[in-house]
Amino acid sequence: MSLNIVGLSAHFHDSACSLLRDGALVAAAQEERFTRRKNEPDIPRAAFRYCLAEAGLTITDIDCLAYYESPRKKLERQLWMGLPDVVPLRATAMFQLDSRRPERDIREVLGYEGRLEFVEHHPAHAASSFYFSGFEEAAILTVDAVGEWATTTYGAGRGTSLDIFEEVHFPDSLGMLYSAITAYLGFEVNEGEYKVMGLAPYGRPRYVDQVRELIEVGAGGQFTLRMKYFDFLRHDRMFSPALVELFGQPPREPESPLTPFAEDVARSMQVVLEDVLLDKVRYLHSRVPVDNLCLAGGVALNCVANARILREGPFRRLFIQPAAGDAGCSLGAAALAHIRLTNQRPTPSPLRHVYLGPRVQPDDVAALFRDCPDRVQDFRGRESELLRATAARLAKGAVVGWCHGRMELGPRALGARSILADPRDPNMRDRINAAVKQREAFRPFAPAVLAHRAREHFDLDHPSPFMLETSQVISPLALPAITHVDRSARVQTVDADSCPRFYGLLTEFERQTGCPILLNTSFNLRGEPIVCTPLEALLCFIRSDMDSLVIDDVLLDRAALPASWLARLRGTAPPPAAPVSATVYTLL
Amino acid sequence: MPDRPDASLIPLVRRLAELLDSDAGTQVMALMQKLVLLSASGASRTVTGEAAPVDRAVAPSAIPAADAVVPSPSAQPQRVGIWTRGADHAPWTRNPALKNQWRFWADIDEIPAKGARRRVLLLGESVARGYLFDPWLTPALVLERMLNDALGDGSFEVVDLARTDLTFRELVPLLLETPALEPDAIVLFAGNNWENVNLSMREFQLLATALRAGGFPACQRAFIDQVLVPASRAVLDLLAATVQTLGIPAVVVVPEVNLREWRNDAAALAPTLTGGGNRVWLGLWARAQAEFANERYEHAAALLREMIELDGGTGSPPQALLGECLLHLGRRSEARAALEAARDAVCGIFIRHAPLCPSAVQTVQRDKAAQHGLAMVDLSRVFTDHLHGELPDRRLFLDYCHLTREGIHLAMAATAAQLAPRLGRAVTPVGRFLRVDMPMSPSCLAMSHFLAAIHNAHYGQDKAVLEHHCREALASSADIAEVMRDYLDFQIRRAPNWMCRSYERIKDLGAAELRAVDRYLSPEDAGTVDKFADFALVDCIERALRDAGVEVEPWLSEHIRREHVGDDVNLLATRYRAATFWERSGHSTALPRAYHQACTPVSTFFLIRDDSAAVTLRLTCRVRGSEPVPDHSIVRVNGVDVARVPAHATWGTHAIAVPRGCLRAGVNRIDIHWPIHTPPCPDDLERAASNLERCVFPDVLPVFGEIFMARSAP
Repeated sequence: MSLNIVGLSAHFHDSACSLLRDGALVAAAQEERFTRRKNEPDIPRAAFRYCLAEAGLTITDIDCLAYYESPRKKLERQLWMGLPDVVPLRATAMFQLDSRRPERDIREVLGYEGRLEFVEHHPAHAASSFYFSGFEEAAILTVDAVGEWATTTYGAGRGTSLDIFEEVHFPDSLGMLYSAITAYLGFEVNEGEYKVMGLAPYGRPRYVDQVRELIEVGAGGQFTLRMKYFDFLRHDRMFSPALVELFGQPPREPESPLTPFAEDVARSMQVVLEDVLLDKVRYLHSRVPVDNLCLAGGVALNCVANARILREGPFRRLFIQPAAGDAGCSLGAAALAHIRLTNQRPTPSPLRHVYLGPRVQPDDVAALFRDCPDRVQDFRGRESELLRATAARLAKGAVVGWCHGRMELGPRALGARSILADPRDPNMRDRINAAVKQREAFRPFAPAVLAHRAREHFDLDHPSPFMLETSQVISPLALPAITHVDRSARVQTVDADSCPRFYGLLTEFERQTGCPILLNTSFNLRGEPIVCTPLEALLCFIRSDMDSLVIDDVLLDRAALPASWLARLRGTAPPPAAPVSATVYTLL
Repeated sequence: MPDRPDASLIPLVRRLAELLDSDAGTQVMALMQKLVLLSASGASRTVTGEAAPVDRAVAPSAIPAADAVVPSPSAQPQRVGIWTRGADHAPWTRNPALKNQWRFWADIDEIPAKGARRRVLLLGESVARGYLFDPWLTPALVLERMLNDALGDGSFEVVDLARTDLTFRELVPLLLETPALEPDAIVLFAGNNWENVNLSMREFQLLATALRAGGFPACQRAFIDQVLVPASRAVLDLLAATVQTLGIPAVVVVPEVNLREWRNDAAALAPTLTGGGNRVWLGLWARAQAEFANERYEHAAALLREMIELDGGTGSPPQALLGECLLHLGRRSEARAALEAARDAVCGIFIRHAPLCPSAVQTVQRDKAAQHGLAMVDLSRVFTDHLHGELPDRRLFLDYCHLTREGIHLAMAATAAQLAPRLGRAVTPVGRFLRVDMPMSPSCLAMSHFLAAIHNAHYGQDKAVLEHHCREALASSADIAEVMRDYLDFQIRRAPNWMCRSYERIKDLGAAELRAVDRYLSPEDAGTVDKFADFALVDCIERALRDAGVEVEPWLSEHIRREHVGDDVNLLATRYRAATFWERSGHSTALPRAYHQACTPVSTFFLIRDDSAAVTLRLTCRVRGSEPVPDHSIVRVNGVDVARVPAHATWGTHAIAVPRGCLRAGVNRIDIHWPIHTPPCPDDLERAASNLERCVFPDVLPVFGEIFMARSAP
């Protein structure tokens, strides 16, 4: 009999479910991939069912379900932040001061009857990193918007133990600071932070003083936000008029043209964030003087800051699991529950990959194309031919949708649900941004590179399998499509063990072109979650301007698409799902 | 004010959170929030149309008071429905930005600027669209032809502003936009969807209170009397104010439904009743059905009246069967009353059901038309007269509320007769309009009947109805046989329809047919591929084709097996479990679950096999509220008992061996018979009320069993 522990994140944003079987992570997925509602906050019904089915389990096989937050402690913070109103009255507060909802949903909606463990939010973040890092000992830093009270924590992990020794409490939050600037710059909160990071290299740090005015960096691990510039305590908005006055410009209207001012503010925000993080990382090292650092929390998805922490900070090794935001808390919650039940660390091995989601089922692909076999090329049993054909298309400048194997956990496409292209093509970035992904022109793309060739092309001396840090492009090749304006790139190193077919494609592409690198971006259109199923991949392919599509062993070229499919779907968008709030963190 | 709350108060909030950390505490906090907000917000439906802050999130379609918002004749809205005003005197054109809504509206690329012709606007819902006939034949086209032909001078135009799925949310702004088209008259033909009111927080609370006081019957009464009727009145007041301001006439067409034949989904038996009443109710139901089968109609009627007493009018099946009994007994007017009650039973108790205009809305429409001096066409009366007192049936209806060609003709002739004198023409008898012919090609008529067969199947109607429409389709045009065969092809495939060549062949029939079938057979979301377990319909189509001399076997059986035979089959997948919309999405509007809830005493699954080899069924199930009474669920395969599964209140996983020979090549039926004496959980009603209090729709129907996993493997 195996020990099966389910971890859950839900009721804020990015709900997710993961499953530990005898301490090994066997399945994990975000609910948004099933409901097709980006950042889905509701209890993860489909992800829960998926995780069990993937492991061949049913609900009676679960030994424990762990939830990623303490509802009562969250209620404390909710009550405090509403003061002096004891009864919070804003629209988003209605029915949200409900500490019973997590258990109610778990019992009623999921139907789970067994042992239920609640773990706190930041320990869940910390556990999601440390217990999957493979490190025997490490310092641990978690930074996000807010959990119950904590927004930042400092801790140490050794073997089975995980000790958090210092916290920064709400409302002082680096995540909220970054999100406030994100909102000020006209991007969606909890989604547009990546855009601010991507926009930053275009600007100059001319507003560093203003950003520093927003935050007072204290001794030790502490810092304080100057709350007169923020409005998230009492209103459903992130920043106050004082912040606008401080920067001297009105907030940018969403979708309006980007100005040098916006670029400069983004750059300034990034600089200050990195400086504060470096300062706190050095403090953490003073308290936990070891070589290894584990990072977690939404801010740990800032790959530019991560690179600087590793480059300039005191730690020699850095681990971040790629679902570093709240989705990843489901991993940490399950890991902490595993320890409560067994007094043993869940797994001594580092997380090698995050291909933990639903797999492409050959039978589903066959059923999808059964009525139109002449439209596709079927390479079943002929993988090398498939890779040759795909690489040849990429070498000729094709943009290829690539849907293979099990879906990735986390916001990064890592070669399972990816859009791929030749990084040497000078027009490729603009083409994919405009015609394929239908998003802002300034946004950069990341490279995937054969792990053993990475040092030749990037200033990188260690594996980077999860695309969570940037490095400088030093390649002898011209790689305009993946080189950002500051010559940085967010690198994914690919090895043969963790993703053999993607490795095989890169190898074949190198054989044909001499370039062991592909542009790799997530397989989705703007505003849509990354595709999960073969049908979603096909729809995204038809709706966009990709040239070819590979779904496991099947290759489909745009030229072979029936005219009727194009007539029906070209230029359409997925049906809009009710968005999760884009203007403010729904703190309640 | 300090820029952050006082940190020294944290111990106090900790204590408060400790006290509030319970179900009661959560309710206390929510009630305090409500009390403050509701006492500050005043009426839930505000005169400005802007919901009070508290209600905004839950009642975005609050209906404005007519006197506050009725537009002036000189108002110049730039948009009407999906059409946008053209420059100068250019036509109104469909707004590309609203393309995802086009499918709900008439296929009219342009609405011309107002010219010399008298302009009638037809507002309404899918009935007014001519659902299943649209675009070949619509009430707007018929009305225009009748006015022009019967009155002889071609000086009328009817602008089709009907919208499928029209609710108050779309109707109110549409009414406010109508002056922009400079109408000479407005026809409102709606009411079937009016039950779909967005409830305000105050209304949710009202219903919660009623539910606690008197169960779902009281909740239903509160909904009808205090939500639906006021909202309906408000909309008719708005119509009246609009036409009075414009100085034009209006005609209110009061909808009628297919009383004689339409049956609400059999799964919606009765909501949870107080005091364990459902067990008694089900016992009576079994006895009443037996009495009816034995043609002992008086006995059956007596039992059914006991059931109605128990469910307070919230159960549709006993009312419907009572109507049948009374018809057999020759008591036609009583039968009509019972069948109207069957129609109304599902109103306002949060059970998903077909759009049906309830008596309460019909009454409001009649009363308000009289109060405001609006012309009225009461279809109930029109149809009764036409049928010489018989109840309306398939002669006038394709399904629950959508009209046949004859039904449309009657309704529009009566409307034209009301319009003629109000548009400056002589009073003209209805018969003159009825003589106006509206030709329709046999192939289009055949297609409409075939679409009706499909639509009725997905609402769980009787096989006899499906067979009727299949046969009518073939009788109208033999060419429909190819379409029916193509339907069998793409409906059975696991790929979405738009990927199937057979679907393309149907679309290639011609421009009008293309638009029609695409609208009806292609989900709005191209990513939707959840097809139904359509095996009853497939049988009907196959039989009708065979009778018409078109043989689809053995191709059909092979096609089914090729698509669906598998080693490890998830029987909870829609295509093996759900034949109707509500079986697919759930009968209740409550939060969806991660597991299947059986709201009927029997759960049915279909397993496709290519041989009779043994399989193992793996079943994780529970029977809520069954303990401490020991009982079993019975698993039947093709009518043969194969297992008795202990009924426990907690999940249990069972491996059920289905021996060789029980299954057969083709479609197999697996039934799970739940223990029907199971009383509902005593706190079900309280839980439902609590949900309403937090503006969440409640579970309504008793749950007989729940299934987390149902798989078949070798």
